[in-house]
Amino acid sequence: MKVLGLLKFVIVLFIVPICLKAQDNGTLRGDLMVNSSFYINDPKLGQYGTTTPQYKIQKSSAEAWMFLNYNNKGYDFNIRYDLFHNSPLLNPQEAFNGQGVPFFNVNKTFDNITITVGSFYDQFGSGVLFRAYENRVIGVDFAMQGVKLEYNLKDKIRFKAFTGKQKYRFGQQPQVIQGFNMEGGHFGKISYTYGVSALKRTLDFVNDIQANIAPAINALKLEDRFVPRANVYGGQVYGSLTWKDFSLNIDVAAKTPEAVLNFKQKFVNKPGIYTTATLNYSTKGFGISLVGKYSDFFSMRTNPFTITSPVLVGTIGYLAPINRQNTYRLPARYSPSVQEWGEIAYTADINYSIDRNNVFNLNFTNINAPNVTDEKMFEEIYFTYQHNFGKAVKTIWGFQHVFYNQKYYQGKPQSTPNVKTKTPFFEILYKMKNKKSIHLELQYLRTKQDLGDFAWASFEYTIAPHYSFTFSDMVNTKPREETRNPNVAPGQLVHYPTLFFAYSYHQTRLTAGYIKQVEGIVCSGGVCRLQPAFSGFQFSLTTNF
Amino acid sequence: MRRIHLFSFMALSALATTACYDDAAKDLINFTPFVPVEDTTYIDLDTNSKAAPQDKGVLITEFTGSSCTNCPSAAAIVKDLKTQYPTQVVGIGVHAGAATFVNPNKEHSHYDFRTQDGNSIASMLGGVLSLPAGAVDMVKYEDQSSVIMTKNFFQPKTQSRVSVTNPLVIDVPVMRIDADTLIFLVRVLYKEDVADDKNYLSVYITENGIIDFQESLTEIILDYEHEHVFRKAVTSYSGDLMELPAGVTSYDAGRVFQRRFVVPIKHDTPGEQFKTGWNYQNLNVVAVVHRKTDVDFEVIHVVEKHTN
Repeated sequence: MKVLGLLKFVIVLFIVPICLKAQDNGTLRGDLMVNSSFYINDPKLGQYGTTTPQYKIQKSSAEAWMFLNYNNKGYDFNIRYDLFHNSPLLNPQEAFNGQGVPFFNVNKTFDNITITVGSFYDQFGSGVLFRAYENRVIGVDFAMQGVKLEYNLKDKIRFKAFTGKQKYRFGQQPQVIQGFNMEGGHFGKISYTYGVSALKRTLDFVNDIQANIAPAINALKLEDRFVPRANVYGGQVYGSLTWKDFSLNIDVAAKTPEAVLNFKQKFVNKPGIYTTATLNYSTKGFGISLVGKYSDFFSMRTNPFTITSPVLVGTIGYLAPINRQNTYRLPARYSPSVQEWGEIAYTADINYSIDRNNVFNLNFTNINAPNVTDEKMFEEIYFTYQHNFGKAVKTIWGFQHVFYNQKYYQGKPQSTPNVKTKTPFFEILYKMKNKKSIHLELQYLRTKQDLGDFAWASFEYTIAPHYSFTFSDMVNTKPREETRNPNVAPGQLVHYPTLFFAYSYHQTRLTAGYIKQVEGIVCSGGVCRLQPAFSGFQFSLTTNF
Repeated sequence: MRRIHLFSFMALSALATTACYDDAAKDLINFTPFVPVEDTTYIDLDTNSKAAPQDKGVLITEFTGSSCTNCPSAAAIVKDLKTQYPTQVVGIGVHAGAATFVNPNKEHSHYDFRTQDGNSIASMLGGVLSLPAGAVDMVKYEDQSSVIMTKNFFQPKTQSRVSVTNPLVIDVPVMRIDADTLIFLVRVLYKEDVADDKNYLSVYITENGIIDFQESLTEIILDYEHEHVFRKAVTSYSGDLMELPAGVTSYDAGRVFQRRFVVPIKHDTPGEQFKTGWNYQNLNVVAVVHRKTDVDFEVIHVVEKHTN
């Protein structure tokens, strides 16, 4: 298998370009990303940190991705070489080893038709029914491997169709996925866009149904048993309408009944539905956005068991989070993950600018998940005031209140209390002469639950365009006795310091850092997973050519 | 333009139509009501007063695979626990989970340890997502998201279970064992009152001392000794109801359940690449009395009996 992968790599990288080179040089471009980590065990990190295998055995890990694109006479050849050595990225409890060429394709446009053979990323509309994408931060790569056709009709309507299997590490998931999408729109006094999608997924009859799903259904009470279907079909209709200062977006999707695991991990035969509506109003200095969402068992996956996986695998559709995606360290600490069993949620976001130097933002979010619990799941009130002192100094003052149902979002015991936080935060950016700048962030998270209070400070000094130095520290200022790590003495403060250096030169960036990080939920692009604590050194290199 | 819309409409209609005819799995689902089999149950206060109490048995359901490099370390943990608690800890090694870990190695394996019952037990306990993994007394603990957990929790959870009070005495007299047939009784005596209205009996066959291929973190082991390999469930894999007589609502002290099992010894299938037959001289009977709730299958007591 490894030999086959290497052979593909050699053919696509060398032989094909050489054959074409005889006629035309074409263009070759690409990018490279290398990460490496060195682990220093710290018993104060807690149980999860010390059970991660890298601290005990491997002591270091590395990941690398090199993407190459060769274009000649309208043909595009794309390959990506991936490398994981003792890596926890794909599963934080595993030291995964693998290297090869899991992503490769050829595509060609003939008139209005584009054909892609091999691996591809794509999505239908918002992606709720189908989204093939990569997110390296959280170890997600949902590329498809198959054939895709695209047809543009007079640049007004675009059709897409594909058949393929989802990539899994250096192989494929066994389930077959097929899809169709049509999109169009009109831009004028009244602008509109629209789209229609359809998707079909077929389970592996022997390994999915016969070996796993059917025995699990036979273990149910007689009245709860049902015949599982091998295929699931999904449909999606979406569109937007813009008139003057108003715009409206609607996204509705549904799927046929299939065997899905409910929150108690019992099989039920359920259809799925998903709908969101967004209303925006925007005028000079003022904007408001209202979003509502209702979903019920709408989970497009390669097979139903992947919903219980602690790592992110098998997701075909992307359920976008409705809440605000926070970037500040402490306000982002309690971020909700989308509950695929169903959600009823709404959010409101208001922006108001008195002038360029005085900008207000207020956001409110409420999320409930009736198929999981009758309790409230998540609520956030978020406020910022931005004040600029001329062009040189920019400040942001903010406050966040969060209600976070930790026992359901993090699978903690039922006795775990709901987390309620109050977090004031402050940021200042001071641009000095000679392209130097100072960036300071101060945050304090106050809570009587989970691990207790945290303070955070970050200081960044940048000499543009080459150098950047950052020092930050996170301190568990009021640890709770109930969740205290036994390796930490009562009253002892645990620091999570980070010292980070970055150097950029043209298209290349090198970073090095000493990092100590608390365990927590890490979200990227609205997709979240529990990330273990980290203690050690990290280095990275990224470059484009 | 019209043709394209017509084509799209036809494609979507075809999808919708095929959705109505998707019942290939109908023969795999059992819709027959469960009927308890030939149980004998009675109250025997005399036996109850004479029977010696037994320490609580703890069942470790160990999910493993011959190509799972970390699985020998999980097996070592179970072995240590069996040494520490020789009369209490009972292990069953179920080869179920990802195909890459549990399928026999085409080059080195002589045996295929996979079983339909093993797959069913894995599904019943919530599915095996990674190996090695396992369940201790089939309990879902508060700090775990599922009944099945990683090997790191085998020891602490076993320690928490060995001291649980055991209200039962289980006896497994073997009546006959030869190359073709295993006949035995399972006798369950309630030494103390148990307030449940439904308990279940699961009986498994396991085999010790199978020498075959196993991959480890550092090497390929061709003569690895596979212990307590799960072979078959001779009751339903999820357990048979220990049905109380009409009008009786709980399991009172002195109640006895007795059941006789006749199990044909499985032989290798001629012409198949891998052996699936059992060595009748190395078999164990594992008798488990457990509960069933929406979240787990808590083992009340378990006993392992070597048949030779």
